Amino acid sequence: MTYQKITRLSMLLTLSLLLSILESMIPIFNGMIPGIKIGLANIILVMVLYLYGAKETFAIALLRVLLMGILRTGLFNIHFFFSLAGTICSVGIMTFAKKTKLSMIGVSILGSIFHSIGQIIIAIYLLHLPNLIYYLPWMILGSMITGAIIGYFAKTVLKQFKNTL
Amino acid sequence: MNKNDGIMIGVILILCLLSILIFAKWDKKGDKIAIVYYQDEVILTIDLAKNEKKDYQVMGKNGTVIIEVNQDKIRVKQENSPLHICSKQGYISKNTESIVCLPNQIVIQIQTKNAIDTVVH
Amino acid sequence: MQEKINRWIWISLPILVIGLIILYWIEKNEVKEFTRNLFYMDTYIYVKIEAKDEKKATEALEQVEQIYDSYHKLADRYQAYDGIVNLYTIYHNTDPDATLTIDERLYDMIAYGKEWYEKSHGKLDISMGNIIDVWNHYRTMQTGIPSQEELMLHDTGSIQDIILLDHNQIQNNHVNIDLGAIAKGYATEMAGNYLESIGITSYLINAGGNVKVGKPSHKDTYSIGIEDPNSTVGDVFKIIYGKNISVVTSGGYERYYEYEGKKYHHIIDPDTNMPSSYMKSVTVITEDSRLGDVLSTVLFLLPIEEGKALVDTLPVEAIWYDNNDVIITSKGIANYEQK
Repeated sequence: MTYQKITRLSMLLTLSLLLSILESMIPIFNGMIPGIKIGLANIILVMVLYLYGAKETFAIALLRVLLMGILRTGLFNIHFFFSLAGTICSVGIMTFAKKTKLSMIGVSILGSIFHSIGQIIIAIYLLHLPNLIYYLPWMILGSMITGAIIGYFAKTVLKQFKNTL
Repeated sequence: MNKNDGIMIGVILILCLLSILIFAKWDKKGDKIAIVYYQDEVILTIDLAKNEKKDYQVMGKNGTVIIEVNQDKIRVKQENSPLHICSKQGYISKNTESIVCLPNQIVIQIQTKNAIDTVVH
Repeated sequence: MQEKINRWIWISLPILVIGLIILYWIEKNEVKEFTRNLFYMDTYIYVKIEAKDEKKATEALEQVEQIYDSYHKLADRYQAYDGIVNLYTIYHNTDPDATLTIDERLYDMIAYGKEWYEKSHGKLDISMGNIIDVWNHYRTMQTGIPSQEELMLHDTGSIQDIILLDHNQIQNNHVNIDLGAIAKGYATEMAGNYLESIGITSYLINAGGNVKVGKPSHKDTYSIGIEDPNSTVGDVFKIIYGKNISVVTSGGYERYYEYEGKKYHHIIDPDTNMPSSYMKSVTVITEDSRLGDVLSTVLFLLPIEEGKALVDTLPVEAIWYDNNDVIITSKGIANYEQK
């Protein structure tokens, strides 16, 4: 691993943290529709996946969850596990989807959808609320929109990124 | 965006719409009760068949949570949390719906009353 | 650009069509409830069936009504109907020696009554039409009770005088046959069997004190409440959970009148010609509504201990509500309680 790579990954990690915090501070991005967040930090995850690969993406994703926990929401509480489950599912499916013929936007949409699925599953388990499954289709619909937006951003930024690097 | 994305979006869209329609049919008819939980404990059971308009106050983790019953619907009217997700959610009335107030650790679920099918006399 | 639009149409159209087909299929296969209210045998009858096809359901309800209608007419002893030999025609037949050919269903009911006269040691007696009429008269007038002499005067004809011959023939020596404890259970059993025979297995029939259910489509069991005899507003004192069962109650709390502070109800003990008074109500759970109807009457006329002994010999369960408001149940009742 080169110094360059470490530096860039740290920078991307910082950016993803920044986006997460930014998102939680700007009301427009948050709680407009209950249960649906845009997830700006996922822009970075999609970029890392396409710039480097699965291993690096998992590392950034897990570190982001951990650091967000330490900085904002607290460790090992319900919010922490929500985000952990969502992130693992999301990065997992994106790693797989990247190998198919889907475009970056398609991959990002799948990532968003599985983020929701992961969260719902963990919520059903932790809150003992099997009824939450009824909200899953609505959340998936929302995720498709946010996923497409995230994917589009990631694609645009990545193009600029590659030109500058 | 390419053709494969389109197919994937289409398939997921239809699966979603279908499951929404199917779930809508799973709402059991009959008189409903709302059950309010605080950290997994039942703290309130409200009969939604009485068709009344009334506010209930329960204690959540961040303070008082005001729950409003309006006819056969129930909602969280006021609560203290950063995003106010559960008070923004509005009314629920089906047994497939629930309100989750994570910051206050309050959960509202709706169930169909176990009504008697018939009475022999 | 044109190509792109074409591509989108070709992708989305089949998906849309498939979606619509699936939706139509779901809608078509959805089980719906159909109900009907009937009034036969002096009782309001509620029928609920669950079926996919509305046409089939309507036809089925039509047939159920037909079944009740024909049993009602056959067991009617106050009125004659064109082309039907019923209890009225049998009783009012002027030639006491004549043999009449009767409908097979009526023949079966009378045979069942005779069979249960033996099994119940005379507690179920279908030859008591005249005594019942005397009590009905006093219940309508509400001005007194019949004297023993008056009752003896009307105690004409006995079960032995009802002679069943082969080929659905009856030789009735002027006995006023009353099938009040049999016809409703019979009709209900036949209605349930008919529904099952045409593939409607989810149904609920409530013919007053006589309930028969199939297997519900959306849950494990139907829940059947048993009315509290002391309640004036129809409160329930116990709920029975079951499928493919019949629940029948006999009680003295619905049809009765008061005279000089004492209640006189409609279930008459053949041994005393008086209303019995061992309990407030008794409920029988059986598979067969006919047996339930007959047995609930018999148990109502027996002291509770004797009734319990009888129930233990039969594949049935029973719940007694005694005069001190104590609830007594047979051994296997736990099978019908909620787990």
